[in-house]
Amino acid sequence: MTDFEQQLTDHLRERAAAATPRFDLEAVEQGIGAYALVDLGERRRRRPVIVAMVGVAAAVALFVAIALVRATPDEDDSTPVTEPDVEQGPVTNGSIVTGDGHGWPEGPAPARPDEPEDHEWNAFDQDTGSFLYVSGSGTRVWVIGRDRQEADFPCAAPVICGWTTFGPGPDEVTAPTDGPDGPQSVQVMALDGTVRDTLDISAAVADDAFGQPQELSDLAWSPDGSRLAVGTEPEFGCSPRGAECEAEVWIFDRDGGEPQRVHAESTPAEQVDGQYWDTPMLTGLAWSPDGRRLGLLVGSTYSNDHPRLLALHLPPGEPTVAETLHVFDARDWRSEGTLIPADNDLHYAFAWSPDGSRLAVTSEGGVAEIAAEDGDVLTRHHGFPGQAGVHGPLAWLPER
Amino acid sequence: MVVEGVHSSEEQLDGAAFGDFYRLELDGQVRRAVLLLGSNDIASDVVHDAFIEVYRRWDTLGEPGPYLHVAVLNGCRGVHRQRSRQLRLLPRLTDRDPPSSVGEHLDDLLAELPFNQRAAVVLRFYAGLTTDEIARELGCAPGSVGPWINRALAKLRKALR
Repeated sequence: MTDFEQQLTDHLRERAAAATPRFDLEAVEQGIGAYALVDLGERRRRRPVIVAMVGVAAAVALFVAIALVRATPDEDDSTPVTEPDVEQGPVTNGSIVTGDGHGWPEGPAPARPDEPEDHEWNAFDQDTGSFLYVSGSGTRVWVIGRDRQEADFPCAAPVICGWTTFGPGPDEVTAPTDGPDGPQSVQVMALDGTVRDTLDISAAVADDAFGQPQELSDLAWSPDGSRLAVGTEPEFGCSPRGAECEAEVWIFDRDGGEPQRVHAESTPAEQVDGQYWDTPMLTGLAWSPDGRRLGLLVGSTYSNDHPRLLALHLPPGEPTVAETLHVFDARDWRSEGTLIPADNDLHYAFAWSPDGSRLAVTSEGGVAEIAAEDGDVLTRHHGFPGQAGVHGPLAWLPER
Repeated sequence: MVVEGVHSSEEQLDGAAFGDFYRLELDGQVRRAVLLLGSNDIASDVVHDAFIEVYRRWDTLGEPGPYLHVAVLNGCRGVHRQRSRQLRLLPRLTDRDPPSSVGEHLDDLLAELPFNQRAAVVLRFYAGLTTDEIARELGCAPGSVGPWINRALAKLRKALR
């Protein structure tokens, strides 16, 4: 454990020790919920009528809650895509696997490092079918191919090993390097950790159009290794008060050239209390197999009810076209039958099919295939018995 | 490292009444919820409602402990979503002095983290859970946990420089 982690642990323990739990076993056993606990002392003095009072309080609370919900203006006009009637069917284009080791069709889970140390699946290379894992401590990287382990090398600061990804070459991986002002460059490494190249990405993490500093949120090499997509988010949210800010996507050529900002997800058209702006979030960069489109997930910090899966069309020499392929509905994340992600943070996963015609997206009840052309829900693949849900990351392996 | 009261042993509950379970779990659950929500009152409400869910299913729950853990986490997640705007705006809406200590600064920074990042940090560094245990409690893939923690730590470190 580092000094900072120890400091954090001590801080959390100190704060936890200061908590003052409210002992109210009687109310629990009477089924009196927290919202009905107001004036509970008064109700207890009138114990003979407590049942009636609780009933009235519950009814009033329900009425007020419904009225409030109805009175709250819709914060996002985007309509969530819900296609509960779509039938499930087999995966016809390779196989889809999830980070928790399941897959459609069912089969052996992808190989993992044969090590006792915690490790996380960080990236997937669709061309080779290889998975990249990083140790939980962020000090070791493994590349596991379909048939054998291809790499195992140590990783150390200033490289941010936890963000290591495949590319640009078939025998290379890339990771950002940290610095006093956050990551300003990425290192291209061979599969033994040797540094082959350094690419300056400072243009992407400079201040945005509103003067807000940006920080790296994701990176992904195009399938041919010629372009690096870099995602950024506002480093400290939209501050100071009332400021606008944006999350951005930049493209850097491997061979140099002027970096291009190809997309900006500006603050949603929503002001909080008339003067405070929401903060956009952006993650999950993934190129289509033909390298012509870039998939990404966008959302916002305060009102993240409808995170969206976007596809950026990047025709050479022409303006970028951003297309919303799917709108998640996180407002009622427990509902059945809709395309609802299992988490309500911005951690929704998707994966391109090997031919680029479809995308797999996570949903609470499993995984759905949507059309890359227009986002139509085509097929569902249900989860597995005993699993609360199916969760990302996702990879779509080509047929062998 | 396991923090007392956060993960109770099922053996301790064998044959015990709900009241014993409540007394055994209450403190740990509220402490953890406070770390996830930053408010003692809201945390107490969430834990209270989670206990009601457990009480209603007491006769059918084989392992009430894990059920309670998840119910509290889900309650915190729901509150975070519903109230994140107010919770996160509070420091901006009030003309308060800047944090006077590293601890206060850390509190502010933790409150700014997305829920899963904050929960992963609390479960790792307070509750001492492994990656797989955190993934089970948060209902996510083990592969998600490390990046959440790394990203949260990077953000905290950088802001505290």
